[in-house]
Amino acid sequence: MTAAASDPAVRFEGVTKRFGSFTAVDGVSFAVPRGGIFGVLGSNGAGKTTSLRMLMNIFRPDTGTIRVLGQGVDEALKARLGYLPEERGLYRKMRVAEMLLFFGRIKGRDAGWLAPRIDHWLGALGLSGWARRRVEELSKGMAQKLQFAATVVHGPELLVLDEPFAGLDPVNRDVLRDVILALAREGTTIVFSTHVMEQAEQLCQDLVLLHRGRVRLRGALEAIRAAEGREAAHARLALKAGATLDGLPGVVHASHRGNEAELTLAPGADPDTLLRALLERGSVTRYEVREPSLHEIFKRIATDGAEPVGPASDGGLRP
Amino acid sequence: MSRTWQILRREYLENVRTKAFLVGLLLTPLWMGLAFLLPALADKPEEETVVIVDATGRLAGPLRERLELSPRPRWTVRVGPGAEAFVAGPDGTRPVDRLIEAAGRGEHFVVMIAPATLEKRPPRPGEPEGLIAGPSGAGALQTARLHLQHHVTDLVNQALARDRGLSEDDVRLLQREAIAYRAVDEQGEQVGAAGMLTPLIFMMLLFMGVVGISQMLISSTLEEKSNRVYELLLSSVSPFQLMLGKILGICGVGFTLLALWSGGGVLALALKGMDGLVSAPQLGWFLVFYVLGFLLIASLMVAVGSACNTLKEAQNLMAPISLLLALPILLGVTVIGNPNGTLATALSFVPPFTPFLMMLRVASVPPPPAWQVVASVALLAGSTLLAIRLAARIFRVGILLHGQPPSLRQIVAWLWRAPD
Repeated sequence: MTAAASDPAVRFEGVTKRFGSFTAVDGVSFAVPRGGIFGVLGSNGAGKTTSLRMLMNIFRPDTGTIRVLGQGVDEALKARLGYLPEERGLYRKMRVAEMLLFFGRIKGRDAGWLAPRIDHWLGALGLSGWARRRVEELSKGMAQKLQFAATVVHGPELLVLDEPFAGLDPVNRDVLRDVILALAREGTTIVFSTHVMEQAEQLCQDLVLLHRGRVRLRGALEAIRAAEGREAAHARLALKAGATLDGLPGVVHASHRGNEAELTLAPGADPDTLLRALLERGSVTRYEVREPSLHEIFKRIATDGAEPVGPASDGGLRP
Repeated sequence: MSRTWQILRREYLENVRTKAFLVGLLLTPLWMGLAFLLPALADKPEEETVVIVDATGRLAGPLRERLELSPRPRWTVRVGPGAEAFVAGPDGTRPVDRLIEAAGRGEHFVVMIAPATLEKRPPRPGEPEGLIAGPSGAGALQTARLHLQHHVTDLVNQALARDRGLSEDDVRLLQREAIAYRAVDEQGEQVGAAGMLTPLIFMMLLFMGVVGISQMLISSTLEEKSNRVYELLLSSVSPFQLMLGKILGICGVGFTLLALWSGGGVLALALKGMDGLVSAPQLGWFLVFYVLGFLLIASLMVAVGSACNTLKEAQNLMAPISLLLALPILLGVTVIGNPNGTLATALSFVPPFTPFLMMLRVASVPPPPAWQVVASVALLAGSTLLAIRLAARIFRVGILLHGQPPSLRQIVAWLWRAPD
């Protein structure tokens, strides 16, 4: 292993992948720092899953290079990685512990190494009593947690999670989130893909945002927010009948989500004037001015087709 | 290799530990046994009725005696009127005519002995005609008919011989067969009638093991595809390792079945002292043809399974393939009759048919020339390697494809250049 520990865990350089005439990933470059949680964000069809599949050597890029854990992508590398695909399933007829043993073995671990770890993961995910039950007896949430266990049971150095929270109820979502955070604390690098920006905001330190196969944003989350250079008013409010958020003073973009609104402010706009205007249109139970949410940044990029932004930060790609 | 081994192991254990496997293991030989045994069980000695009308008065007694001693078929013998039966009544019909009509309805056979019968000559004008009348039909009816003909002829021969002054010993001598036929194998050893059955059983076993068991790959591939377990697997193993592990795992399932069945069969033969029917080289060829044949057909099955999304789509794609694969079974009877004929030789060189037809020929007497066996195995092995390579190209694309099934043209395109 010649790679220095300071090398990024994953490095995409000018990676392009076409399917027939469709370009799914178009000249994508980004680097995932070692340790911590890295977000691969974007809407459906942005090229997230294709990128992750290339990282896992399931697809091969047409052009560009991918280096993972200091080496090129190949079959042997798979033993050091864990991958939770978005399209996921299990062997329904197998027993829970037996199936984890199988998934650990195809990563090259032996039964003796795996046995205590299977117990550990079943315990950590609240599946202890289910070791000898068949997978088909599990509820959907339990099956999803078992899937996660199958991804990590061999002790990967890099964990790739494609929409890990999809379909989970809030309780199980918290269980899984805590487990992911604990893994990151222990030094596992986690690449986490989602189209739910709030989840990324909660978990990721660094991210890349893809849109239509291209990189639109990359770097540290805080740097990206700072680079936006504007603030947003976050309000919880109830509008009077017939009232709208159109034409508010100092607002360049208004986003109304039922009980809540996020109002992007023009540079130098006065938040107090805006609050007064809001009170005229309804009642406000909470009002806060801070950096815009990732959701808003993403929506702006997705709708106005802004050019790629790469804030100068140590999370970005160093050519 | 160890990853392929893990896939193989899981596939094998998952399929061997099912109830369906146990049921198939036990029921299939039972079924085959029943197919052989049932006719024998149901085949209790036929009960036939015969009416003897003897215008000469010389044959009815001895014929009755003989028939009543016969164990198979068991005869109920009635001796009808004598010469008067051939005389027309006031209505113009003879009593024997009514007996013949009843024979036509299947009520009995009628044996009519006329003076001409005893002399083995055509009847003179005005003389009654001797004959045996009975319903038309094959099988048991034919056996009964031949039985009656044989006994009447035999009795007439004896009577003729006595009339000509020959002794009883001379008569017996004349009736004896002058020369015997012996079926032999390549060592000059006598082979029994079951020599015909052995190759057929070998071929049937091979067909069940290869075509029957390899179909499990279609459902197994489809199930994993609809369970969406493939992407998780591909994060650990390559598509080729996955495909090979699955094929070899199911190959092991079929091998277990065949080994248990044929092991039981060989044991049963040995216990009956008929172990000469199966030879070690035959079992060796059986293994070679099973493994190569299985890998060839299984590649086809796994390609079909990975290209489709539902069992229905797979069945549509399989229908023409199944017909083609059934051809050796349909031709088996022809080939077994002439194992080294042109048809048998030519078809045993067509790779998908080679395992079945060459096995049939190898187990037949006389066996095919050695070069033909070696050449066909070489051809089969080459085709099998090619089939695995091509199937891998379909498999790696197909397993990650959901939604609309690919057209045949698309599948062919994958074969040329697999997009990944």
